[in-house]
Amino acid sequence: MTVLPLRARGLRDGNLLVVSESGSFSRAELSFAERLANEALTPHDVDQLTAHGMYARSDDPLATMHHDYAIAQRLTRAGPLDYLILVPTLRCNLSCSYCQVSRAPEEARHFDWTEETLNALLDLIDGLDTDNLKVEFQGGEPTLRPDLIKAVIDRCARFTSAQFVICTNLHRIGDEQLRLFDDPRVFISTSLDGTLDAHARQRTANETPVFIQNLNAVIERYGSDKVSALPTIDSTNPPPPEEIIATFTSFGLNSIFLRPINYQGFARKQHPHAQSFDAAWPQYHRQFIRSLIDTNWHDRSRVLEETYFSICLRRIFQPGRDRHVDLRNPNPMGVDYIVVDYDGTIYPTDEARMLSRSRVVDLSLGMVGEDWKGDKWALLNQHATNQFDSDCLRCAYQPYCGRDVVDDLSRYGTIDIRRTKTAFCQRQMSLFDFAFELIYDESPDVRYSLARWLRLDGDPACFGSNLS
Amino acid sequence: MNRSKLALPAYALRGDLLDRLLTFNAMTASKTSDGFLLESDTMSEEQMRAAVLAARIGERFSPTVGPQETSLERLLA
Repeated sequence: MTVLPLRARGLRDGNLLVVSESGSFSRAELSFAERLANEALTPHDVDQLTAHGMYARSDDPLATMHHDYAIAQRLTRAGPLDYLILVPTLRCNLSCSYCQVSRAPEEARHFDWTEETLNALLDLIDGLDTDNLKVEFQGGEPTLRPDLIKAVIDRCARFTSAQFVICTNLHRIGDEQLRLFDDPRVFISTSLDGTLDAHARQRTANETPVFIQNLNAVIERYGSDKVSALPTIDSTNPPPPEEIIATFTSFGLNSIFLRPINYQGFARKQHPHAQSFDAAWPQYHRQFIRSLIDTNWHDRSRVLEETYFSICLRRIFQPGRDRHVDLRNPNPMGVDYIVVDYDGTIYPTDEARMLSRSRVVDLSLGMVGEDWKGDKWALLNQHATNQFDSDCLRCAYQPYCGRDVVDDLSRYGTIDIRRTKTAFCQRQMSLFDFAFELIYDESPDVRYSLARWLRLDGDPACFGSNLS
Repeated sequence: MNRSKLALPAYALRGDLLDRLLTFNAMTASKTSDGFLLESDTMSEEQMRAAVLAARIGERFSPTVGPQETSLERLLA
């Protein structure tokens, strides 16, 4: 008879969350937790733990097999390369204070793919061993080179399924850009910094009306399903949640990926506070989620969500469902997705590209057209897991969490730092704490939003079980 | 919230327990004549007691890397 590996965490309500190595969880009353800690379990306790996959008889191979299988389901199994982040140009027609990639001026030369780079990339696409491809065009402002975007899209005709996301500031839309957007496989991702005032302050200054006009135009032409917008929030001066929600809903946008300024590129100098985890952020984020819950409850005509919180929820309940690269474990780099920069350099992630641009650390893996799986690639992947970290091993949220080596390098210049001291860990801890607070919240308005964010048809009677 | 305090005898926070507690919770610990005084500005005494229990359960049942084989190692074997 054996209790399978377990971790626990105190909850705000004074009970304990008990989590198995495979991510199955239950809330334990203190009396139950005492019996568990003292190994004084009653037969009823054993039945409860067994039902949750937390207890197995040593002569029950099926139970341990089930346990191992459940762990395996939570581990990332990177498939073939099928996700390309492409930077056809580093030039941009805006100059945001926190630009993450230190973009080049619009008139600058030698910041676009050369013909040689384009051809090497097209050869790489020809050689991909997949039927499904996703391509994200980043920048700079990629729509400054619609010809390069078109060349890539045209080359992807052989794939059964291909999706293209053009990340654009929507500052200038002409016929060439519209012809690209008209392709039903193309999606538009733009930035909308919470409120129009904040957007003007941080990005577009007195040209904000142009952005508003263009955003309205693409939403009217294509519908809001084809357009997404991401706010970058200055955590030292965040807009009230209600104002962000009102701004997004006024454009018909239901998903809001709330992001504090990333400590990358120009932000390293102009927003130095972004280096450390802002202790005020979790409180703001909680307030934001609560506002969404309230809005969803009172207006059922559409469902608003904060994208990253929904990803965290699905990491708890639906292992394997998401492929969000900032939150997976292991987090293989340069395997199923890569970044190809304006000069043909390959990076494992977009943040790695930013770090190299900022001359913090060179994480380039090689050049397009060459083999990039060398020593640096192997070294990065050796540490791209939370499975054997001494702090993560003791953390109740380890099964749901990920590992972001590049973020650690960005903030601290090393990965040799206690996990719990990192901004990544502190952010995730607060997010999962809040997620479980909501999971055990019995209010109908909370259940309603949680169910929608988990893409459930109905509202379950409860989201979490209890050990008593 | 007022500063919460919880006094515990030394044996209650033996071995790895104190480090576990302080690693994952917003509390401090100081030595007393017969044990430790835990303090927190953000946790109630009830929450601190739950955190101590969580650390005890973790210490007893967490997967470890080393002599004790983890399920993952078994899986990869």
